[in-house]
Order: sequence, then structure tokens, then C-alpha cells
Amino acid sequence: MSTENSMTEDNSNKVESTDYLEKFGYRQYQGERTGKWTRILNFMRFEVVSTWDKSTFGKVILIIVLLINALGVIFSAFGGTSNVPTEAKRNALNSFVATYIVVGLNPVVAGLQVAGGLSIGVGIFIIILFAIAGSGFFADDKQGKVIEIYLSRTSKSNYIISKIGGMIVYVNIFLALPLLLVGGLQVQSYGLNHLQLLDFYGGIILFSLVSSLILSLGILVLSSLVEKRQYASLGFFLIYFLASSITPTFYLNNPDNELLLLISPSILLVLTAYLCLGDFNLGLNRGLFSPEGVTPLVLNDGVGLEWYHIILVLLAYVVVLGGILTYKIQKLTTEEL
Amino acid sequence: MSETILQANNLSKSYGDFLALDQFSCEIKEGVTGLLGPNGAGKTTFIRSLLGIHGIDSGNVRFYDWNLPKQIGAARDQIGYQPEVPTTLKRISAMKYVTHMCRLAGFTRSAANQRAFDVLHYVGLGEARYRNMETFSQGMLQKVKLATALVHDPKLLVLDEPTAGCDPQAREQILRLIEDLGKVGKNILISTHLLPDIERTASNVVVMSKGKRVIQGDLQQILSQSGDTVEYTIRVTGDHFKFSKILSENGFKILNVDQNRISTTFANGTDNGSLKVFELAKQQNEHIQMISPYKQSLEEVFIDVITEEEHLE
Repeated sequence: MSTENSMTEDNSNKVESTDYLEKFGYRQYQGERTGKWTRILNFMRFEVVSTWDKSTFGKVILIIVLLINALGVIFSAFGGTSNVPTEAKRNALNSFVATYIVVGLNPVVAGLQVAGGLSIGVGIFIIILFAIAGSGFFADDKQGKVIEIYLSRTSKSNYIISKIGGMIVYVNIFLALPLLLVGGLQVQSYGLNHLQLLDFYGGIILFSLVSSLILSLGILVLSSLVEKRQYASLGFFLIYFLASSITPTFYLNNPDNELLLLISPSILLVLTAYLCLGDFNLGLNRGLFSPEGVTPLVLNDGVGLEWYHIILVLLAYVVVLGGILTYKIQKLTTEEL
Repeated sequence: MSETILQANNLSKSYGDFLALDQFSCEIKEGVTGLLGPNGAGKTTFIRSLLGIHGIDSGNVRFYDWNLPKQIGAARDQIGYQPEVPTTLKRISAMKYVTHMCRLAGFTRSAANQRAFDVLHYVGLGEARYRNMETFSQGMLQKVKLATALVHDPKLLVLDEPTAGCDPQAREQILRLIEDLGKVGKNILISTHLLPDIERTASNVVVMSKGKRVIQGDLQQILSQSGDTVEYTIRVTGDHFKFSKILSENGFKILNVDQNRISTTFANGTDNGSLKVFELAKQQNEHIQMISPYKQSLEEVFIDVITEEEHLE
């Protein structure tokens, strides 16, 4: 019989038996303790596993994303690419990676379009998933009042590192893994040599890490600022979706200023992807905005938008969002603990 | 003589204009210590400062060989904290939660699992350990918190209102656990408003008011010897009213008298008062049936010292 049950059933005995004290007496621990980084990794693992376990929606989204990807690969395999030049195939691969999490308008294209090239519209699903999963990382702790216990076990900086790290790992289950998997299948279907495309795989990993860091910081900042995770989810999705959809019109109104493209989070991540993949010769599909069609967008010609502008904006995101997050955790109020 | 395990020296902490800790100093000795004080006295601020959750403006804490807050990283592993508020994580079982907290204190996976299993049984949640915590009653959540505080075998347990929100049975269980932990040599600091809990479990007390220490020391000594005078109860064979009048004429302050006893005060720390009573009884051919110091409750002492502190200000 359980202790709790016996407690309620034995009303005649007001004081519950504490036999368990004798049976399970307190024992001291004499073993070794792990170091700081092992603890941080354990914390990250707990965050990833518990977020995965809790999110049925996440599992459904992963299945949807993989199904859409599988359809894309099948379609691509039958697309007939044997006569397409290798460079065009590489452009198609880069384009696939760069547009993977695009939401809203994206005027940036690889230099050449290719028959059978993948252009999968799973970005909206993935962003919704990140918004839902990531919003709980701090908000659930606040709602469950466990931050105080965490901070009695670990420092604030380790707590923040663990949360960011956990979110990055979780994001990459849906970003890096499908990209590597589908990218590899795509390379196979194009008849290209995997070993000659190690820079492509390296670019995917680098892009996944950079973009997951930016996205994680964004959602974690919102999660730390609000009490309920639903608000953080909605806030993140709306900010990302609206900013990605509306801000390209700033460029439309001022087409000579390519730097305006960086205002859109979605376009920033597209440009980041091309940068990580080593593709500096891009095009701007002005057809989206004007009848001029695709015009060159070269990131290392010293004119207009340059590669270092992208890096600076990414760094600014990391510094500002990381700063807000750190400040917020350092200055948690008594009520928030 | 029990040893000092923690010494706070001149801790100050303010939130804007509000001074939560005002040059607060205290000594925590081995065993169970009660931390008392009215709302806003600074108890939780002191605890959070001890754990490094809040920074302090000045002062330091010596905890065993660690100098806090500088060495808080190492000291954290030796402090188990049970906060006042109910804590829970959605869709997480008690076993997973306690294991996770144990791993944060540096335990390996297998050791953490074993400890969580043992300690959840120890607090009486053996059967419920795989249930999600959101299904737990308030009393069960208190036990989870206690298990979380205990699981990494800390040298000091800090329990903030450990019986808050519990029904009488759960409260009794938790108090028994605290008593049991005290018996096995665990050092415990209990902050609570429930003074009977402290009277029952603690051997030492620290009383705070407005961020300062008001009184500290051995609980039994404080209960029996607070103030300059000690209250005594006297019972004689004859008329209590008549004998109280004689005592009064001989300089004793009579607090209360009825048909069964006389309450009076003696100067603290001397036997002169009782000797004088015996002399007067002999002169009056009365027989003293009982003469014993009146033991105050902790609540009375608490109210006295807090009121006195407020008058001083």
C-alpha cells in the first residue's frame, strides 16, 4: 500500500506511521562529483529530453518536415539533372540549405536556377516549432517556481549557458539533422561525390549552429520576459513572421540600399547560409518587387551589401539578445524566483 | 559543545531604498537551528544571499572553510535548499526531477538515480515517484522539495517554511523527517513562522527583525532565561492569596495569583529569590509544595524581543 494511500485510509491513526524512516534511513554519499562542464552538459541534456518528451506537436512537426523533405528528394531524383553543370547543381544545393527556414518573401537567390532543385517550404513549420518549444525554456521554470532551486545548485551564468545550449541542440534536431540528411540524399541524387563536397556539409553545420544560436537567443529572450509560454510563442512567431514579411518592402522602396535586406530576420538567415556555404555570388530576384528580374548581389565586391555587414549584424544580434537575457536572469525579481 | 558551521559577518543588502539586511551577523552551530523573524525581517534575503542567488552589498559568510560569496561555487554542493514556494515542472515525474537536481550537484547518472530512489522513499514518496508532479498534493510537493534539498547529501539543509500548506498529517511527517535528520547529524537551518515547529525540532535559534539579529543562542536557555528576571510559579500548602501578600510586602512582584498558584519574578541568574521565598514560608509556617521557573513559549519570547526591538527604534 502506498504511503499516501495509507495516510488517507487509516483515519483512526492521526499520526502517519514513519516505518519508512527505519526502512530507508538517511545515507551519506561518499562518491566522486563531476566537474562544471559535465554538469552543464547534463543540464542541456535534461532540457532537450524533457522538451522533446513534452512536445507532441514537435514530434508531429518533425514527421511532417521529414515527409515534405522525402517528397522533395523523390521529386528531385526524378527531375533529370544529368545534363546540368556541376556548378548549377551546387547552386541548387546551396539554395536548398539557404531557403530551408525561410518565412515570408525572399528575394535572395543563388546565381543559377536548376531543374529539379529543391525548394522546400518547411520554414513556417520549423519556426512555429521553435516558437512553441523554446518558449518554455524559461517561462516554465518561472511558472513552476524552480529557478530559485536551480540557482541554489548552479551559477546564473551556467544556468543561462545550459538553457541556450539546450535550445541550440533541440533546434538542430529539426535543422541540422534534416539538412544533413536531405542534403546528403540530394548530393547522391545529383550523382556528385560526397567527399568532394565536405565544404558543403561543413557549411550546413556552421549555418545550423549560427542560425540556431540567433533563433535560440530570440525565443529565450522572449521566454525570459513573459510569465506564460504561450505569450512567448506567439510573440516570437509574430515578430519573426511579420518582420520577415514586411521588411523586404523597405528594400522595395529604396532598391539602391541593399543593407535594408538585413532588417528581415528571414533574409538575414538566408544570407548567413550562403556565407557559411562560401557562396558570395548571389542574385536579387527583383521580379518579386519589380520587372527587372534577377540582378547580381556580390558579397565581396566592395559595393553595397558585403559579407562583413552580415557578420556584424549577426554579432549585434548575439550581443544585444545575449545581453538582454543575461541582464534579465541577473536581475530576476523576488516574485520571478 | 557544538561547533560553529556558519558565521555571517556584517551582511548588508538593499533593494533600492529598502535595507533588507543591515549589518546582519549570526552564528549557526551544528544541529538544527531555527531562523525566526516577522515578515520582511530579511530571513529569505539572508538565505538567498547565503546561496549566492542574490548578491550582497557588503559583509561575508564563513561556511566551514569556504568564504562566501567568493567561494560559493564549491560551497553550493554542500547546501541543500528547500524554498518556501511550491515548485513543480510540468510533465516531469518526481524521480526525474530529483535525479536531475542531483546531477546538477555533480553526481553521476547511476549515483543520482540511486540517491533519488532512496531519498524519495525516505521522504515517503516511494510509490508516487514516477507520477508527474503536477498531480501531487501540496504536502507531496513539500516532500519533493525536501527530497531535492537532501538528495546530494549536503552538509547544511536550509528549509524555508518546510511545512507551509501541509495538512496536519503531512506536517507531522515532515517534522518527523526533520527530527530524524537532526538525529543522524544533519545540520539544518529552518526558517518558519510556525514557532511550535521550531520549539519541537530546533536546538538553537536566531531571531531577526528589520534586517538585524535580535537574539541568538541555545533555544532552551532562551526560553528559560530571557530578560533580567525569570518568572516562577509557587505553590504552598496554605492560602495562596495570603502568602502572595507577604511576598509582595517583601519586595516580590506578583504577576498573578489564584487558589492554586502564585506567579512571581526573581532576578535572573541567582538563587536569592527562591531562598527568600523559603525563609518567608518558614516564618509563616507554610510549606512550599512547588517552586519552579515558568517556561515561556517561543512565541512569547519572540513577541517580547520583537516588541522590545520596535520600542528601541
